[in-house]
Amino acid sequence: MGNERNVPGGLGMLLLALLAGEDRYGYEMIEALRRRSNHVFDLKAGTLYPLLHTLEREGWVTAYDREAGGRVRRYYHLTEAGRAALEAQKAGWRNYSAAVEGVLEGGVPDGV
Amino acid sequence: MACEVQDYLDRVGERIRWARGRTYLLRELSDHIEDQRSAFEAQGLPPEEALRRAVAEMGDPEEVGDALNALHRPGRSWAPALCALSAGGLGALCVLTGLSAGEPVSHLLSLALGLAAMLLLRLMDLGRVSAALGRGALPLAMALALLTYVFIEAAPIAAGGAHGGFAPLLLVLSLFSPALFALVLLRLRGVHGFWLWALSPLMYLLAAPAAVYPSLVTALFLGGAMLLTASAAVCLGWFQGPKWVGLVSLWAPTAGLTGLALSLFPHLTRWTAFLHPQADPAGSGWFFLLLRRMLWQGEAEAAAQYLQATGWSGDPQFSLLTLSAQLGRPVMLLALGAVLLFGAVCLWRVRRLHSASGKLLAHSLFWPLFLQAAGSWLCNAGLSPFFMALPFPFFSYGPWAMGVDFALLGLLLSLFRMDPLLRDGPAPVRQPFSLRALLLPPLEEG
Repeated sequence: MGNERNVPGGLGMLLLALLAGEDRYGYEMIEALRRRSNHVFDLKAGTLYPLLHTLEREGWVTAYDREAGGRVRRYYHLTEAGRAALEAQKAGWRNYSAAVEGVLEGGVPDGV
Repeated sequence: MACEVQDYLDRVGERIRWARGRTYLLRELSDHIEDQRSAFEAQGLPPEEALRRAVAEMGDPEEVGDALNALHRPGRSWAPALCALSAGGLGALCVLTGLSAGEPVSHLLSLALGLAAMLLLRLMDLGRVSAALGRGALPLAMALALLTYVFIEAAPIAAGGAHGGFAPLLLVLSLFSPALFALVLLRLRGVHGFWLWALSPLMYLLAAPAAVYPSLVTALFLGGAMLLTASAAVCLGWFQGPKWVGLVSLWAPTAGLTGLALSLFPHLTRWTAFLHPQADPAGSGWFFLLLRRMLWQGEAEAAAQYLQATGWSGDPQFSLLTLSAQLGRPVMLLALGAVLLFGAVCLWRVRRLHSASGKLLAHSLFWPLFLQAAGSWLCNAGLSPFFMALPFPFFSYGPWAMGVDFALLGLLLSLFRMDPLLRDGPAPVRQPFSLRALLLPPLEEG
């Protein structure tokens, strides 16, 4: 396997994508990620919140408290800077996945 | 079973060193456990099993706590350095000016109380205060302005015509007016910039008591601090619409009133004395001539003359001048350097705050301090025709002013400290502004 640090996208990009359509709270994001990925991405809360707070420090999301269903929850909102970062990461991911796809389709086994 | 949740949260919390941040973070994790538990129960699991699995889904508590601790630290504090500088500066002042036996004690007591206020207020959470005040910010600001005016008017008048009693305290408390004004601005997020002209009456109301006591100049200084705070809010994108519209709407009423005032009163005596002091060397121009001889030309005779002048050597407003007369012009240069350094460092630190609301509040606390320092320095340097009743902050003797200045600094430091937790959230949805809709009545359908 190549150096995975060079792989664009990642969980951060996925979280930004989840927030692109609507504001969500933490548990809602884990459920949406699980559902959309057909259970491939099963994120634990202990991974989610540090990542969300990192995105917040970057200025890509902002958080606020909102009452829903009789309870106050912390919702996350994608900022304009986050939207731009998401588009850039999506473009990077598409280039990367196209490159991987190209290698896999025309790939030559080692040693031949 | 609830103790299983609490045990998990306690184990996470043990790894998070910042106590204030810990409260926010554990609340979010607790809410998540509750949501997960509800989901498991909806899937048919018994309550005890649902709760146990919900806690297990959270992940290793030590790892979670370490990850959150790495991200959440209080903003860097300048309190120790400021304490040392303030104490050292005032201590040197006491020694160098040779104050009488009684004054160093008052000076040092004011310093101690001011520093205590700063350290206490540094722990405050202004974001929570703002949220708690809510819509009450505007009525509170107006009520305080009116109460200040009433108390100043009710204060006894001394033989020299100056207000006595609590009037000096109310004067320095008015230094908090820009902060109250900022709490009102926080409620106006998303309003179109065109409507900012409506803030002018509120600014004038909050600054007006200072015009009664001690002078119009002090009121202008307070109004200026509020105007700069609101301008910062415009530049931060706090309001809708082009920023130039907001800035023009904000400054137009004040610029218009200033132009009107200058046109009605073009020949103020003080302006004439300031610009042409040689025209009245024995009268209103005398003081400006003395300052310029002492500071601009470095005349030792003028310095001696200043020190001998009756009633001035102990005047807190002019303690920079007293030191300059005793030690020479470098005192004024050092003071100017300190003012500019304070301004540059504070603005740089404010710019690094993560939230726009934090920056807005920080501006409301910074500008009164900076304008007070700059205005006082300009007065002492003979570069301003007008005298403020406020001393050079953190330096000149004035117990109430020193306490309030340290309190403002403490609130500013609290914003730096709470920066990791201050959040703006999305802007409220407001009706898009339309000049046409404003001016033309809606067409009737049918």
